[in-house]
Amino acid sequence: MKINTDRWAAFILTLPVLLFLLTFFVYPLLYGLYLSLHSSSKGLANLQFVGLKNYQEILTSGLFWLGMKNTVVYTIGTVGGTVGLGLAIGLLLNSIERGVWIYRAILILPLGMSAVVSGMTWQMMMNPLSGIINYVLQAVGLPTSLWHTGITSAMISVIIIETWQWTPFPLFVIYAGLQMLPQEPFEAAKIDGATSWQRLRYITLPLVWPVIGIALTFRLIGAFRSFDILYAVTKGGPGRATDTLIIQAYQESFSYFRIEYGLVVGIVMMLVTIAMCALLLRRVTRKG
Amino acid sequence: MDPRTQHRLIETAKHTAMILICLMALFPILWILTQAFKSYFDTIAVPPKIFFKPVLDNFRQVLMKPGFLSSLKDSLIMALGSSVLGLILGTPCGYALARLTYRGAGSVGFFLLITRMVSPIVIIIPLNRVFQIFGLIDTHIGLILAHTFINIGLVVWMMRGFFQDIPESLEEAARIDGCSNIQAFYRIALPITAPGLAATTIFCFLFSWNELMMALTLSSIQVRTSPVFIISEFVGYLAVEWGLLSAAGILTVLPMLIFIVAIQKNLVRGLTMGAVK
Repeated sequence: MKINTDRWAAFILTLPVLLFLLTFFVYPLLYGLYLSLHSSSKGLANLQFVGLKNYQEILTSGLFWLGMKNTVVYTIGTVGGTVGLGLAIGLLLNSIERGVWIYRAILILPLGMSAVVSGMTWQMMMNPLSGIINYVLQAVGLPTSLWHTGITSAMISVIIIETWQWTPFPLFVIYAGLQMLPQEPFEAAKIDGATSWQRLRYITLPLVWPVIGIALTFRLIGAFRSFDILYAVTKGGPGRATDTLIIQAYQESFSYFRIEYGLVVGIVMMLVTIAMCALLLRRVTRKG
Repeated sequence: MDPRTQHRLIETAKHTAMILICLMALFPILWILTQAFKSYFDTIAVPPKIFFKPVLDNFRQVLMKPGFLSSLKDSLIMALGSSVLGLILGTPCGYALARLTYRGAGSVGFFLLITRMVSPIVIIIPLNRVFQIFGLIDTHIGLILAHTFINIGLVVWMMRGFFQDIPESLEEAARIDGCSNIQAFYRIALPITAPGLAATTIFCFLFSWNELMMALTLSSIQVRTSPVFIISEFVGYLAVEWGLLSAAGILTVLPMLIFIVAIQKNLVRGLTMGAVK
């Protein structure tokens, strides 16, 4: 490929995006940083400079660390659930020859559901009194649960919902990776007498690992900022059982008008996200 | 056991497992679909009714419910507006990243990735204030701009991939004939990537249609998208109005379910911003 270094064209073609992002991302971001260094207790017209006091207060508060704990639990639970199931189903789908198109068309559907509607649907199904899930559990003699309405079961319930909604993502990413694998190493291993477990463990998984890594990273970042399902189903409750950082940031800013909390948490979350992208995604997006 | 019988047994087991998995993926969707066609007493019946006399009352009531149709209209305006604006702004940049070598290209790409990955919460609070000053709060234009922000990184990265897929020889030939790089972009490359543009549009449409946080905080009275309508209208008395909620939900997600199946060929590319094709 001939290297094309037309700086003028590059400038013209990139300018619209940069101008847009300067106005709607960089400028609000800087304004947010500015606000986060001020106290707005006397209204936004009477800001008082307080330096890093907001950060110090919020980052040492029990509320923040509770939110952090919930966020970590939710992220690990949903990333483990979606990527684990996605890998298992992807391997199964890859080993099937006939009827793949229909399985694919069905398995893709949860991704198209708006998270609000899937949250509402699961709320109906998980209703402790008249929901279908408790009914089925009872019918087969298993213990029922309070699901999203119980303090101890709320977190696992929202993790289940997010896992249902997002498993197709790692599934299809990993399946695409599996479909691209070369056939030769598998045939060679078969001739050498490798069992199917050995082929999976020593050929398939190492070869498809970069793609699993991408699915994992995108899911990690996605789960960390996940808002819709939590907001639709529990709003952080009952009590603070599912109160993740982003739910806190939203509730504190827009329900209790403590905008400092939302700003500080938002900025901390952004820094974490940038670090994750720089560590995990930079290499991926650069190649090609 | 002879190998052919064994092979057949394994195949049957695989398909059985696959069908069970598909049922689990499908069940919640089937569940609101059936709830939407149930009469009021059937929706709250214990035990839940699998067989029932389907009625259209829920759909009739939802369509007549003040605000529902206009919420679909608002969602449509948002999704169309932000997809088109995102493509207009982002496609040229995608081309530059695919074809031109320039200082800072890597940083531009990474910056765009960040805008896509970071939660919008970080700009919503200041943006809310800025929108209030400029009279953009709770307007179509304001929310279109906000949703364009959500989609612009996706547009650039996806279109970059589609441009890389087409052979460069056509544009080179055009350049030898005296075309500038910018002319080569819109005369040669752009028409060839029409399918890519279509796939990207559908993705933007889908993300905007389903978006909640910005729609909730930057609008919600004059402009009320469908997710906001559902969450604010049904959440309070959820236990009583399951049929209505289900009908509204089905009407909202049905077009998106069709879209997602239609773009399955480009699904992986869109969801990983081109990192996996």
